[in-house]
Order: sequence, then C-alpha cells, then structure tokens
Amino acid sequence: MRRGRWLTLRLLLLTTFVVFVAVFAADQYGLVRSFVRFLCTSCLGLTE
Amino acid sequence: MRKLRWATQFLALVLVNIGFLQVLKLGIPCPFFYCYGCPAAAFACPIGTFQHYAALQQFPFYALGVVGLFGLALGRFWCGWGCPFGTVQDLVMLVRRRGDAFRLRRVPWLKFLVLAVIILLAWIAVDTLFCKVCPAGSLFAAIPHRFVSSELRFGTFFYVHLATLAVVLAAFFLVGRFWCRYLCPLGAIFGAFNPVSILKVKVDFSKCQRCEDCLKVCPAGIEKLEEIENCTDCTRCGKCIESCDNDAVRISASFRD
Repeated sequence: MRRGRWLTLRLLLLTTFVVFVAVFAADQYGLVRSFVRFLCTSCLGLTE
Repeated sequence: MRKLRWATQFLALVLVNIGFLQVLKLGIPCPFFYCYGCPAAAFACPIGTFQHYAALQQFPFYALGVVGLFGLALGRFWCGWGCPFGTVQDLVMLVRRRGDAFRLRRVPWLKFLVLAVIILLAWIAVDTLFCKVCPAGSLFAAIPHRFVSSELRFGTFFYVHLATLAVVLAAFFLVGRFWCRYLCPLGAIFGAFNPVSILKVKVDFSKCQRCEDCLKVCPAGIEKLEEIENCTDCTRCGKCIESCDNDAVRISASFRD
C-alpha cells in the first residue's frame, strides 16, 4: 500500500477511535460499572 | 532489549496485582488481560468488557475506542512487552530450558474464531461465559481474590478456573507462547492491528542474508521473513532483532509508512 494510503487509513482510524471514546465514555461508564462487582465475583466462582 | 522487555513485563505484572490494594482502578481498558474481578476494576479487561456489551446488546464504543487506540499505536507489542499472562508463558519457557516439544503449524485464524465464539456466546447466553473459564482470570483474580477475601467461599467455577489454568500451563510447557499463538482473543484484536500499527518490526532485505536465525528464535512461530512485518502473530518481542548479526531487523515507528 502506498505511503499516502497508510497515512489516510491511520488518520481515519485514529479519528474514529477518539470519537468513540470522547462521545460515549461518559454515557456508558456508569452503566457497565454498575454490573461489574456482582458479575465478576460470580464469574470467578466465588460467592459471598 | 531483553532486559528492558523483562522489566516492562514485571512492571505490568506488579501493576495488575496491586489491583488488590484498590490501586489502578481507573476505569480504562488495559491492553492486556487484567481481570476486573480483582476486585471490580471496571472495564479493565477488554475481553470481559466486550462480553458485557454483547450481553447487553450494545456496541462497545468506549472499550473499542480505547483498545483501538492501543492497537493503532503499537499492535501486538502489548502482548510481548506488557501482558502478565504472556510473562507467565515466558517464565515457563525459561524454566523448561529447552525448545518446544512439538513443532506445531501456525493457525492464524484460530484466535479470531475464539474471539468470535466468545462474543457470540455472550450475546446468546446474556452472560460473560468466557470469564468463567478464563485461565488469566484464574491466575490473577480467582486464586488471589479467594485468599485476600476470606469471607468468599469456593464455588463450582472456581474449580473450573483451576482446571483450565492447569490445562493451559501444561500446554505452555509443551509449546512456547501457546496461548498467544493459538487461543488469545485479545491477541486476535491486536493482531488485526499489526499491519496498520505505527510501531512495526521491519526487515531490511538489502542487509538480510536469509540465514533465518530470526525465525528460529521467534516465539510466535513465524515461518517466512516476508511475514514478519504484518503477521497477526508477531508480538514485537524483539528476539528476532537480538538474533540478527546483520542488523537487518529493526523496530520502527512511523505514522506515514
């Protein structure tokens, strides 16, 4: 692949991932965190 | 380079395990297996997070964004230089003091299949099924978590964890970096970024004598010189660079090339 295409592809990917993080971080963080503690200990085969 | 690699690997190993002291709970996906069961490090394990999102039937924008940035920057460098489970495999190779018991063929697509099955199962079962058997979770979360938190009791999946860990440890003694080469779902994701990552291992064919010393020491089992740069199995460990007497193999970082 030519140099210009690598650069374009990387810039495209970089922009996409930064947008993913920036837009959705605040929105989804609380949602998943609320599930984590219970699910994780049960997945490890440990119960309280 | 060898000493530097061991240093970063042990640093990652320490960082992962001080999770039990409630440190490093940043809510950022790590570029390696870091079981968020130890204890409740939200988002830490990318594979665990992807399963959660699959179970919730949502697209993992945040986790995929962070993992994508890690992959775009360094590809599978994280596997060779940071992953604690990779460190365990390297330690096993150090202990056994001989080559692989078998010369297995590369099966580059297998880890992608494992990744797809894991996500599909989480989607169908609405549960993080892989977490219940994950050997990295066994070693870095289930076993230490049980002994740090004495109020917890052993359940069925604790023993399942021990069994999967025993199986993969046995495999490590037979084939170096067995997990990384054939099964690691996170390695599949970072491997997909190897062709496009900014950091690469490159062969200068004007200097290369085609002695293939670099391939003989490759823990990823790469079989052709031309595959080194973009192969999804290369963990950028740098052993090929150390073995080359002609300085034909080098690590390079460029946004343009």
